[in-house]
This record gives sequence, C-alpha cells and structure tokens, in this order.
Amino acid sequence: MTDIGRRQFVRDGLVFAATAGVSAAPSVARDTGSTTRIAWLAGNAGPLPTPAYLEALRTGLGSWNWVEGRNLTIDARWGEPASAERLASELLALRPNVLVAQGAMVLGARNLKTQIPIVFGFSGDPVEAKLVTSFSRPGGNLTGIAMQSLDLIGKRLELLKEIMPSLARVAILANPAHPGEQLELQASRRAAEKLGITVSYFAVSSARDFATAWPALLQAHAEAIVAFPDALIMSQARAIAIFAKQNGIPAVSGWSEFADEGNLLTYGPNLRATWEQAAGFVDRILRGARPAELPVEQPSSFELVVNQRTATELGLTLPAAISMRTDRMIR
Amino acid sequence: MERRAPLNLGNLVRRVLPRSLLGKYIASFVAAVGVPLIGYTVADIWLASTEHRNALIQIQRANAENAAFRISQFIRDIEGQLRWMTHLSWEESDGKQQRIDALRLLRQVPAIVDLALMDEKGRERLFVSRVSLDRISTLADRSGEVAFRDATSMGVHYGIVYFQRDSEPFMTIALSGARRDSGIVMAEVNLKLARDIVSRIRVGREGQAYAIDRNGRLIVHPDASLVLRNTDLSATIRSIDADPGAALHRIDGLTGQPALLAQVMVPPLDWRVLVELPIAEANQPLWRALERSLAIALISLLVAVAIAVAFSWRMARPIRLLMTGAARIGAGHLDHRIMIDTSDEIAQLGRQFNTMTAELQGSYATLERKVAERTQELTEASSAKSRFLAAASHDLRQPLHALNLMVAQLRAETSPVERERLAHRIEQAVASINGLFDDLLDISRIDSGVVRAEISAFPIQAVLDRVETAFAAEAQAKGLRFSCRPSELWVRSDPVLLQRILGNLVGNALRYTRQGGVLVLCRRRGGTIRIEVWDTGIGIPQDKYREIFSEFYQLAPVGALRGEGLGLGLAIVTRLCQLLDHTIDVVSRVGRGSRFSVCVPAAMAEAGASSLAEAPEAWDDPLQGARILIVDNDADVLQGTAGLLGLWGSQTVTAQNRNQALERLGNVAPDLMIADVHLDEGEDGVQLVEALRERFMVAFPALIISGDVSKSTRERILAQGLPMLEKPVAPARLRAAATRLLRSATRPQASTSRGE
Repeated sequence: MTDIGRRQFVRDGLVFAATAGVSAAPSVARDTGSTTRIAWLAGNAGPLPTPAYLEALRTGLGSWNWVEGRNLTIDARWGEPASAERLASELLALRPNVLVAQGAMVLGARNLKTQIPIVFGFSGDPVEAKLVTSFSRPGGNLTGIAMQSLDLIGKRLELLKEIMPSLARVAILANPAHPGEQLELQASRRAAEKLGITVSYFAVSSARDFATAWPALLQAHAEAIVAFPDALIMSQARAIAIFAKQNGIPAVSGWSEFADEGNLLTYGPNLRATWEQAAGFVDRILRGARPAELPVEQPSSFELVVNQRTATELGLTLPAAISMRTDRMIR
Repeated sequence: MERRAPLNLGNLVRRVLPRSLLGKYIASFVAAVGVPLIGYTVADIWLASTEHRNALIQIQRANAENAAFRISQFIRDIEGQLRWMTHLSWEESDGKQQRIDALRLLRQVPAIVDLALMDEKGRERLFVSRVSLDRISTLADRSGEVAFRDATSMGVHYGIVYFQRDSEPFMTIALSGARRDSGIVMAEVNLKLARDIVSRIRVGREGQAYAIDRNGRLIVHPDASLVLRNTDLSATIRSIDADPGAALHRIDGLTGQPALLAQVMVPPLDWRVLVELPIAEANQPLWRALERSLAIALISLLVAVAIAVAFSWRMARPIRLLMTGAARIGAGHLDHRIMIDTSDEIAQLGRQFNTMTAELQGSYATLERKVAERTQELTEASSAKSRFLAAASHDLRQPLHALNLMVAQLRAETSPVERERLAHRIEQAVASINGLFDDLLDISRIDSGVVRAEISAFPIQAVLDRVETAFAAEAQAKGLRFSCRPSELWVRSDPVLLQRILGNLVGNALRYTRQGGVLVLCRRRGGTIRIEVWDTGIGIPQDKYREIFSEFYQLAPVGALRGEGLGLGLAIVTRLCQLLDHTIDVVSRVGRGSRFSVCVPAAMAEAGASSLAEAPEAWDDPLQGARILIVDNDADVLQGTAGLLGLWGSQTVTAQNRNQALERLGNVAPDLMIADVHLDEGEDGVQLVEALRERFMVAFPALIISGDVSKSTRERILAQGLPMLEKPVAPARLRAAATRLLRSATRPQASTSRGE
C-alpha cells in the first residue's frame, strides 16, 4: 500500500518535474489490446437469437471500455450442444483471457478442465450442474449468471390461468438433457396442483422430436403449452407458435424471444440485460479478479412479454391484472 | 558523565565549525536562512497535515451522510409507496382493486419482490409476487409474525436482513395503515437494487461507501459480488464500536488495506453506512504537500547556500587580500600594494594599509639613508681616530727618542756647560710629552663627559689677565708682540674652561706666528661678547676651515713647527665650545694671518668684586711649610713626588701602605694627603683617606692621583668628594692642585670637609 503510494508519488513527481505527457492508461491489459481475447461459445445460430446475446455482451463490455477491434478480440463459435466440447477446445487453443459460454454450451467447456476463466449465462441450476460449488463462492474457474428460477415455472402457469381462467390441462415441453429439467418439472407439477391444472410432460431432445410430440400433445387434449426455456426450445419457437396458432393452443415460456416468434407470452429474465450483466464478470476477470471469488448472480428483475397479436388470433382477451404486469406488449 | 557532556558538545561544535572566515560567513548565512526555512517547512507541513486531516474527516462524513441519506431515502420511498396500499378498508372488499394496486406497485418499485396485505386481524387478504404464485383472500392467519406485531404496535417494521440462497439480501418491511381497518401491508425488498444508490457515491479514487446491517453483514455495496459473497464485517464493527468517539477509524477496510473509515447510522434502520478511503490515497495529498514543501525547502536551501557562498566569497576575498597583503608587507615587500575593487570599509582599510605602507617605505628609506650616513660618519671617525692615534704615537716617539739620545749623551758628557744644556733640552722634551698627554687627556675627559661646565657670570678681564700672564713669557721668547686689550665686559660662561679655550687659541697663534704678534680683544655684538684672537701667522687655506675644527682632524704641523705639539688645541677648543654652547669661527688669509673668534653670552656686571677678581690677593704660597702625606706603592713615584714637594718648600711624609702612613705620621694629622688608588695587598687609597680622617678626627684635604681612569673608579672617588688627578701628572698641575686644596682648607668658608 505504501509502495503503491510511493509509486504514485514517483509518477506524480515525474509528471510534475518533466511535465511529460504520460498517456492516462487505466490498465495494462487494455493497452495491449491485441493480446486480450475473449472466446464466445454459444448454441446454434439460426432461430436462436444468440448473436443478439453476443451483441448484448459487446454492449456490456463497451460500457466497461472494452471495445472489439480496439483493445479486444472476440472469437465466436456456434454449434449444437453435442459439438460444445470440440468447439470449446478450438476456442481454448486460441488462449483467450476469458471464455464466455451461453446456456448448456458451458458444459462442454467445463468438461475440458481448463484453467481459463469461464463466464456462463446458464439457464439451469449451476450447482446442480456442478459448474460451481455454491452461489456465493463458486470455488473454481467458472462463474456467471444463473437464469433459472424454479418459481417462475409456476408463475407462468398462473399467468396462463389468469388469461384462460378455465384452463385445466397443460402440456409441458422440455428437453430432458437440460440440467435441472427434473426440478423444473417437479416445480411445475406442484404449481399446477395449486392452480387446479393437470400437466402432461412431453420430452423433446432434438428438433426431430417435435414431429412426434405434436400428435401426442393433441391427443392429450392440452389446452396450453408450457415450454421450459433452453436453446432447443428457443430454436423451435417459431414452429411452436405455428402449431399453437393452428390448434388454438397458446404456448408460454421464459425468454422473450419466444414471444417475439409469435407465441402468447414469456415471463422470465431479460436475456439481453443478463448478457450485458455478464460483461461485468468478464471485465472483472480481465482486471484480475478470480472467478472462484465472484458469486454467481441471479436476475433481479423479470419481464412479462405478451404478444397481443397472438392473443387476438387465439381469441384471448387479456385481463387487467395481466396488462398491469406486462413489461412489453408485442402488437 | 552528564556534567561533561556540554563540554564535549562545545568541543564538538568547535571542531565542526569552520575555522576560516569564509566558512564562518557561509555557516552564518546558511544558518540565518536555513533555520527559519526548516522551521517554516515543518510548521507548514504540520498545518497542512492538520488541515488535510480535518478536511478528510469532513469529506468522509459528508460522503457517509450522503450515502446514509440515499439509503434512507430508498427505504422511505418504498415506505411511501407501501403506505398507498393501506388506504382501502377490507370491509366490503373483494380485494380486486387492491390486487390491481399491488401489481401497479410492483411495476413501480422493482425492489419489492412480493407484497402481502393483511387485515387488522392478521388474516392474509392478498399476496402478489414476481416469482411465487399470487394468493387472494386465503385468510391465512399471519398475526403471529413479528412483522405484523411490530407494524400493529409501532406502525412500522423493518425486518432483519436475510439472504436468499445465502446470497441475495432481502428485508421485510411492514406498515400499518392510517385507519385501523385498512390493515397491514408487508413487502419483501431485494436490497441488491440499493446497490445503484451507493455506487453513485464517489469516495476519492479508490474509496467506497457501503452499508452493513446490525450484525455486521454487508448489505449494500457498489460491488454486488461482495454482498453476494456474504461478507462479514462484524470485526470491523467491533473495532469501530471500541472507539465510539473517533471521527475517523483507522482499520483494515473491506479490501484488506488499512483505510480511514467514517460511519453514519441510517435513520430508520439499524444499519450503518461506512465510508472507506484507503490510507494511502487519503495521505497522498499530504505526501504530495510534504514532497513539495521539502522540494521547495531544499531548493531554497540550495539557493541560500549558493548565495551564501557567493556573498561570503565577496566578503571574505577582500579580507583575504588584506591578510596576504599584510603578510607580504610584513615579510618586507614594502612596495606591495593591496588592490581591493570594492567601495566599502574594507576597501578603505586597504587604502589605509597602502598609505601606511607608503609611509613606512618612506621612513624606512630615510632610516636607511641615516644609517648609511651614520655608518659613513663612524667610518670617517674611525679612520680619523686611527690617523690621529698614528700621528699621536709618532709624535710621542719623537721626543722619547730624542730623550733617549740626550740621556745617553748626558751620561757621557763631562762638560758642565754642555750637561746643563742637555738637561734643559731633556726638560723641554719631557714638557712636550707632558703637554701631549695633557691634551689627549683633556680630549678624553671632555668626550667621556667628565668635564662639567660650571656656568657663572664674571668679568672677562680676569680671564684675559691670566692668559696674558701665561703667554707673555713665551711671546717674548719668540720675539713676538702679545697683548690683551682690556675690557670691562662681563660674560656668562665657565671661567676655567673659557680660559682654556683662549689659552689654546693664543698658544696656537703664537706657535704658528714667526713675526708680528698676537692680539686678543673683546667686542660686544648684541647679547653676545665676541672674543677675538688675531695673529700674523701663516694663515689657513679657506678649504681647511672646516677640517681644522673637525674631530681628530688636524692641519698637519708645518715642517719647522714639528715637535711643538700635535695641534690638538683646536680640537679641544671645539669640544669645549660645544660643551659651553659657544660658537667659534675663523677668518684667515694664507701668509697674512688668522682671526679666531669665540662668541660668549654677555652678562650684567655684578656689584662687588668677584672671587676671581680677588684671586691675585691669594698668591702667597700655602705649600711653604705644609705637612703633606704621600701614599703610593711605587717607590719611584713616592720619591719623585716627595722631591718635587720638598723643592716647593713642603714637609713630606711618605708611606707605601696604611701601616707605614700611621707609623710615620705619628700623632699629627697631615695638612694634605696625596694618595694613589690602588695600593699593595688590596689596600685602597680612597678608603685610607677616610680611615685617616677618622683616625685624626680631622677632615684634612686629600688628592687622589691614579692611573686608573675607569669610570667606576672615577665615580667612586667623586662620590667621596675627593679631587683627582690622572697619571702622569705634570709638576705644575700637581702644584696647582695642592695649592688650591691647601688654600681652600685654610679658608673656613670653603671647606671641603664633608664630615663636619
């Protein structure tokens, strides 16, 4: 401390004495921009709006004065969850300072047992997924944002019930490969019970599974669909919306892009905001913070996005309690 | 030990202090500037640090209060929003309106996670949540909850902060409505959102403001991760509470670095806001001020030293110039001049030095010249003396040689007539030798200061008479005319010495004159009497006027006059004139003659006859029949002296020592005693005189005749009041002295006796 003080002293003294223009560089890492690399690993592009999340990350980094092309290089890889490990090893071979993993792709990176810090924006439970030892002290080289909230499953059911008071049967679409999926399922069953709704579960592990899911779903007389948000579901959001409109079965999920693709509503964290928030982790790690010491954060606000058009198409009227809660209305 | 310490210190100071003037000047200058400067710097730094500390306390407190105010405001805002929810009564209400209100509230206040409304009995009427399922009119009894009880009894409840998943901080706030039947509103508040409030508070560069709850758990911090990490600050709280009076606490802060902490309580809650500033940063302005002050002090000191050196050099250089200049002058370089180009006192001193040196140089030159002159004089005098001694010894040898020849001739001569002639010539030779000795002794006596002038007023005629008497026979024998013109004038001089002067002048004149004559006359010239001695002699060339008077330098006796004396007369005259303060001069023409004149102060004629005027009346001879004791260890001298005195009619008693004297005198005291100083066997003539006078109880006159002319002997004899003659003594002198002593003894008023 005294040392720092002295160094400061000396530097001030030099500035005072020589009045030489010392470039006001806040950090050494930022000066040598060419060596600062961030790797971005995300689920398959296409319908999944992960480029938008990357953009959100860029925005977030920009607010911390990390600008791609100036003092930052970002290497991005998109792929299927199955290819996560391969893509992660490709990225780690580039020796990035931080690897940012979207969703379940982090599991592939985690499996490589690298020492490079990894920031995740994980839709499951990071403790359950063994990414971290606890929220307050992650303990390893991984930290990030846990976007999942089991309670929100019930909340989505409640919102559905609010719009459709006679709702009695709901179909749950979920990817069983997604960590925490079982917890979500249990939570949704408990909530459904309270709301007087029966749920039927339809597992989808890939896009192909939807083809077989639809008839089963119709056969179960499901009046609405609750889709557990993950990359697979998001990638099929449009297909779900089309199916929903065709059969008059409204679908809800957690991430707003789902509603944007034509589904009735979503209730959950604002992912763009969350990825901007994730930039804060990257910044702190680049400044020398240890991921093990950075607690896992949870989204503090949730947004209700309602697609008015879809509601109208489905012949649903939105009650005042919904309007009051809606953060974004798609018209 | 301690008593000696100041002494040692003094020695130390003396040893350290510069010895040269330059060093002392520099030291004084530097001390004069440096001490106040250092004092000022120390005071400045002290004041700056105090002010800095006070300002820091103020700023820190203001920051803490600001943060506390904002957090407090955050809570009060929530409270205010919640209070709206307590306006409606639960009587006759289905809760729909309340639900809408509650949902609106959730929209407006993001920090509220869920909200519960209870009637006054504690039954839950409404529960809305962002996360959990809403509940309407469950009427569940929640009256047992602390929040409800507090809100009912005190109007408001602030719950203990709790952490969801041991990570996110939450707090329960409950309010009772203004009306009793409006029940209680209870909200769960996510405190993470308060982060934005404190993150806007800047505390210096690295400082931070944060809030902790009553247990020391971090609740609000700009860095959310610290909150989420369950940071426990209870140790910090304890050390702050240990010193509640301090405005600032110096303890390890959140970052683990020593920091200055200020705390302020958040009004409605049991929280406190801590504002932390790392000590390094807090002290940075102080260090900067210190550095600046020291730099300024150092530069000032250096400038002071430089000025001191320059000034001291300017001051010390002229003094050094003076010093080296004085040293050079002291070493004898009298032509050295000190050049100081300033216009101050030192330059004046330099000029005075130069003036002094110039004067010194002048007087030194004068002194050298005088020394040279004196040396020249002494050399001349020495050579003159040598010449004189050569001449004197030569002229003594001449008559001695003649004497030897004549004595030998006398022995062989049988003719009585021829023997008579030889005896006469022997007498002449002896007289010549005596005269020569007399003159030499006179000069010696005058030079050694034995002769003292006894000045008195007397008629010049008395002296003239004696001179005429003395030389009349000689002039007649040479066939020259000689006369002294009578004079009534009185003069002021020593009659004996003046007589000697005139005698010498007349003797000289007679000696150098072959035909014609010599005339002595006196003229009055104002206050002086000029006694002139005219002759018709050979004359003196004008270029020899000076030389004939100068010491030891004599006009060589001219051929035929050789053997008639050395011509010491004028040398004696010159000395006596100097002694008497008379002037003498000479006018002469070669072959025609000379005129010597002596100027003597005139005196008033006195009434009555002088003793000298009476002198002729005492010409009866006292030697006739006088009984005279002669004591001398030399038998020849004894016999010769006794023979002479016997011839002059005296009765003599001779003795070679004391015993003989006593034996031969018998019981009768002598009329006069003549004694040598040095007798055999250590006897002393002077003491013998005294002894005999005591023996006979009579202060008979005594005369000492001695060959010892040393000053000590002379003074001893004079101390006894005894007259003295130096050997050899001419018979005439002996007779004169004996006569005078006997005569004075017979005259009662002129007794020489001291003892009576």
